[in-house]
Amino acid sequence: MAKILIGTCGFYYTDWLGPVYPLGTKKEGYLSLYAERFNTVELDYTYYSMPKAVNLAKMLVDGGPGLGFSAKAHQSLTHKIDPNNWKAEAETYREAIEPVMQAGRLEAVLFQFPYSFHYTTENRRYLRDVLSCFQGVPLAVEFRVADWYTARMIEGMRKQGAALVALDMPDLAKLPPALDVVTAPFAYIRLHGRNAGAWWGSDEVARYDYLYNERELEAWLDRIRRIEVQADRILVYFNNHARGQAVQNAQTLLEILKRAGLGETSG
Amino acid sequence: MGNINRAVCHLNIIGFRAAVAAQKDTALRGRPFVVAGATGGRALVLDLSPEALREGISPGMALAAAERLVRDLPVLAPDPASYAAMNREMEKIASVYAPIYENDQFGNLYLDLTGTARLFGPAADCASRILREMLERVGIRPAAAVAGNKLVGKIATRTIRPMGLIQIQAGGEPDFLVHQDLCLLPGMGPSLLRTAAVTGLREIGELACLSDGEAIALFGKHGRRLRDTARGIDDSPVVAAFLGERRIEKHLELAEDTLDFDVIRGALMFLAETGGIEMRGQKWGAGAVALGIVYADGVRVEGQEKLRRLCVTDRDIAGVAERVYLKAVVRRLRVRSITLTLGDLRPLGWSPDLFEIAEDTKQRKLQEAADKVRNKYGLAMLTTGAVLAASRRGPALALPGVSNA
Repeated sequence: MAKILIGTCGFYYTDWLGPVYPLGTKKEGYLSLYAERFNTVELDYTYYSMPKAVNLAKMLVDGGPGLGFSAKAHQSLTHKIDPNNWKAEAETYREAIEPVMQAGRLEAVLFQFPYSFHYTTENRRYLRDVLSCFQGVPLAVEFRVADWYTARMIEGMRKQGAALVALDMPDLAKLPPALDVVTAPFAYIRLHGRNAGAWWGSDEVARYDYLYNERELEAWLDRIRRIEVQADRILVYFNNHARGQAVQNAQTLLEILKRAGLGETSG
Repeated sequence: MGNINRAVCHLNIIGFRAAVAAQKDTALRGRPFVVAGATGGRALVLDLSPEALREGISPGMALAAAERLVRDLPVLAPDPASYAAMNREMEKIASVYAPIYENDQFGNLYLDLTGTARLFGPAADCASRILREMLERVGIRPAAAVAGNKLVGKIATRTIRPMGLIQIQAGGEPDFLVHQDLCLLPGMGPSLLRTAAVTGLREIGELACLSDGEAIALFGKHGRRLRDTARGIDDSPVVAAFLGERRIEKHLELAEDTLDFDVIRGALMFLAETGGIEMRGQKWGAGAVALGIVYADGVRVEGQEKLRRLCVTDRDIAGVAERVYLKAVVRRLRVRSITLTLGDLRPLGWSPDLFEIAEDTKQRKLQEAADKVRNKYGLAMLTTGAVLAASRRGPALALPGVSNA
């Protein structure tokens, strides 16, 4: 039986005051409150600013011993790649996550590449090189464009032992296909919402502004059931963070899985 | 392109025979093993477990070479009864969700899920449920793809194999196909791949970009069709055909009742030629050959032989038909008519030559050449010596006198 961990992409949103955190909660208190609900979190601040070991060590304490962390790779490794400097950035990032690794609480490092990152020889070479800088670290890779989904890439992920992220997103041309393929000892699922109208040309909040209904989440039950046969752990993160919808959906999915008596589920 | 209104789910059990064997014998799970049609030097690997694949063994490899790669390699004989049982179980599950499904009996099922969304939800969710049922009820884990047509579904399952689920959205086919390796394209055998490699074509998208003229210049008269395949174009329907339902019947009324076995032999070959070319034209092979024989006094006898291997060439069909005839005809009485039935028809698959011994391949190539001539100039233009000799022995076998039964 796989261990199924459910959480959200980020926890540090001011618009969660009210829907998720009690009004008046100080920012320093967000993580401990979050940890009361869920056992895993995907850190997204590590994408916007290069993380520091000291901050992550503090988060280990704030989150309490039961909270596991996935961390989004810094943008210098995925969106703004400087050919002359990315190796140094990778090294810095690798050192920063060390305390979480040492504590045995790092679920995965997520490399989420942008829509502009296409399946070219140069990009494939870069992907291979950057992943190889993270030997020993559980890795997950998310592409945002359909042309990456080739047999060669999937086989490469298997060889690398990196998880190819299964996505839930709007059904739009050019976006990745819906795909459940386990390429690592663990599986990584991200639910971005299905707001097709706001996917292009809107800000980050509007793009992910979506609330899944119960039927949509129940459909994930079969998918998770099948994935758990092949993976030791399944990480599920909701990215539809606007107004705390991700929290609502994560809790609903937890209830659905518990009702189905599925694996060892924990939020 | 995938039709926006169509939803076809392709279930592909990679290494079907090996998967069935592992499901039946749990001791085999996680171990390298192969299925081979025979033992000894000339035997070939028909199928293998994923672990054997990782050891460097591949389908079509000589068994002796496989045994050199893995010491004490378990070699299993084919088990048609278990394959049939597994197919029945899979069809049971498929029939719950799909009003029409097609099963080639070798681990490929196509389910037409068009219009079932109101009953079972979106096609991908429905496919997910089917996969779960297959896992829980029969312990099999296919790769599954939901797409607008069978062709794209087939390529998609090849992309993610050995297991998993993928959905190619309507309109998303070009982006999905563009960088796939050409070898994933159904019909691209070693010879076509060599031709493609000469001109530097490596990906499906590169083939899809060819103009009509370029495709024909490169791949001959089938070039345009191949190029269209690379574009994901496939209008073929999911055909509801089940085990034992497909058959081709050919009837020959002899011009004169006869006991002359040379004439009978010529007649059987002639029926094999007329039935065989039709069967191969649909890319089927026969799993059974049956004869219905009517004596001069109007009494009818029948005989049938089920085959362990698909019968494909005229020579093979006629050979089996002769055996059946000799078993069925016990009266010393003249024969008036013969009906040949090619039954239990199954798809030949994309590259049947992979699994055949050299002699078979030679015969297949000869057959293909003969079929080309007949398709171009007519059946009567090319026939075997047996038929010709029989037609010259007397008026009994007056050609052509065959009809669809």
